[in-house]
Amino acid sequence: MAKNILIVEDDDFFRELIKKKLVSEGFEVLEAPNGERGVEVIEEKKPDLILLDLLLPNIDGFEVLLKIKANKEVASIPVIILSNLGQPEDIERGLKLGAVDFLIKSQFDIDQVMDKIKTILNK
Amino acid sequence: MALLSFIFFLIFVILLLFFVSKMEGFGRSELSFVNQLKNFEKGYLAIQKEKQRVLASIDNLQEGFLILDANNTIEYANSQFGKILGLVCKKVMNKNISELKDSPNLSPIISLLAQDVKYSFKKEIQINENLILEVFINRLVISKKCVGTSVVVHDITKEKIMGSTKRDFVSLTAHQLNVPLSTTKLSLEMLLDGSLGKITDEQRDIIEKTQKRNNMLIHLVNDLLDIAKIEDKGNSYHCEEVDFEALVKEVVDSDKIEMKNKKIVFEFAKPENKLPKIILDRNKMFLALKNMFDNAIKYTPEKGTISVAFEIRNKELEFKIQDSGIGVPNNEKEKIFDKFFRSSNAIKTNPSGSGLGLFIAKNIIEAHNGEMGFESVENKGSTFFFTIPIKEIKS
Repeated sequence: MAKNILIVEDDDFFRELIKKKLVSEGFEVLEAPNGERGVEVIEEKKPDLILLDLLLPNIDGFEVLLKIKANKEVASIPVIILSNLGQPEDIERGLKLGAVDFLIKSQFDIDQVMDKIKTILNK
Repeated sequence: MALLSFIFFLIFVILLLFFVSKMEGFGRSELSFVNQLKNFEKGYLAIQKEKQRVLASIDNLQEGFLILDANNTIEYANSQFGKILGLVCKKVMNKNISELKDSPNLSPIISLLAQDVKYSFKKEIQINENLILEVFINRLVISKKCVGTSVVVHDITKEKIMGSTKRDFVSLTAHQLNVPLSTTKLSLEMLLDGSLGKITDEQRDIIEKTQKRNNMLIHLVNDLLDIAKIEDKGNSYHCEEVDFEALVKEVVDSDKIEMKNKKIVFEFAKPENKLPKIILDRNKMFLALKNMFDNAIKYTPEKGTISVAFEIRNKELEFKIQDSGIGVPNNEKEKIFDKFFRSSNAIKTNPSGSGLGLFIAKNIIEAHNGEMGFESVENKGSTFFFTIPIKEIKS
């Protein structure tokens, strides 16, 4: 059965591209254009993995992470941060809040992102 | 008081000589003496006039100016000193600095003056939220004896605020630029890997060229972000105990694929004894080492050699990276650490560099109170090195 991946990303074009790539790799894809909607989808659909942007409208990615980790039913879902932020303090904060990885958008190729997703889902 | 007594004495002598000169039988030698005294008076008045002129000039300086005697008693303060520090100059005159230590604006300067330092130095100090000063302390030494101290105070609050605004602007702009650049990067990658359908060879060629230019921009934006970080020396450096050897290894590992692709022979000369942990800003030092290492790889031809060595000597960390690369032309050596500078042969070898890597590295080393330099022979190779004084070593 195909794994379900949620993309929480406010850049429509970026989300559309990632979605296309994930679908071509055989994943099922859920989408959320902001943090609030992201938390709703996570609690409702319980995806297998979350790709989370940090700079989001309403509630930001850090807060989304806090909410996920505070809810026992979804706390174990792996979260990969995929963001334009990349300061050491951002990375440290994201990982401390429970993200399994932190990828800076401009520094990772799409294939590297796909490899990370597959590695985490196969664990 | 001494000055006043001297003036009275002088007037007395002049009057005495005036009456004596009116007496009959006054001799030639006595007249000569009177002339000498008159000359002396003229000279004294000229010196007084000159002194007043100098004091007026000092009083009109843009900088605050203070003179203390050997016992740290304030002999003179210009009006600008009072303006900058919000003080009435007359109230601090002839007072010893120990009597003024409770003055909130003066106390940071007094702490500097109280330091038993025999040489001149300058220091940046923040008096409060709205006042940042650059203070120059000059010990006045005559015949190896300290006879007093002069203090020059320069208000740099505006420059600091402007510098901070500029850094914030660069940082914000760079972040905003990163958003479309990373999306463009993703779309080009997906066009090239066939995720969005087949493309012709001609289309592939154009997309690949676009991708190269987009990556150039991404590097430039990231370098600008790094500059905004490193130029904010006071606020953004967070020092901690760092395993320097592990840090170097991390940098080397991050470039392993690139070295393998260029078939570069790499030599890692580890120190004989394991280095103790050193107090550094880990992330900044990583950035400095990474820039030095990336440069070596970028400008070393295929099958060339790169070696890295480091050691602690005389309480200094010494690091060097040597390559068999293109080197730096002699007439361009002076500019090699300048912001945005790229040597003519570097532009030919790699047109896409930003000219910021070495500037960033040098700034980071200097922020650690270190020094960075290089030796290079064109077409033979370069050695870039730095030394950093070790503040504290923990085994």
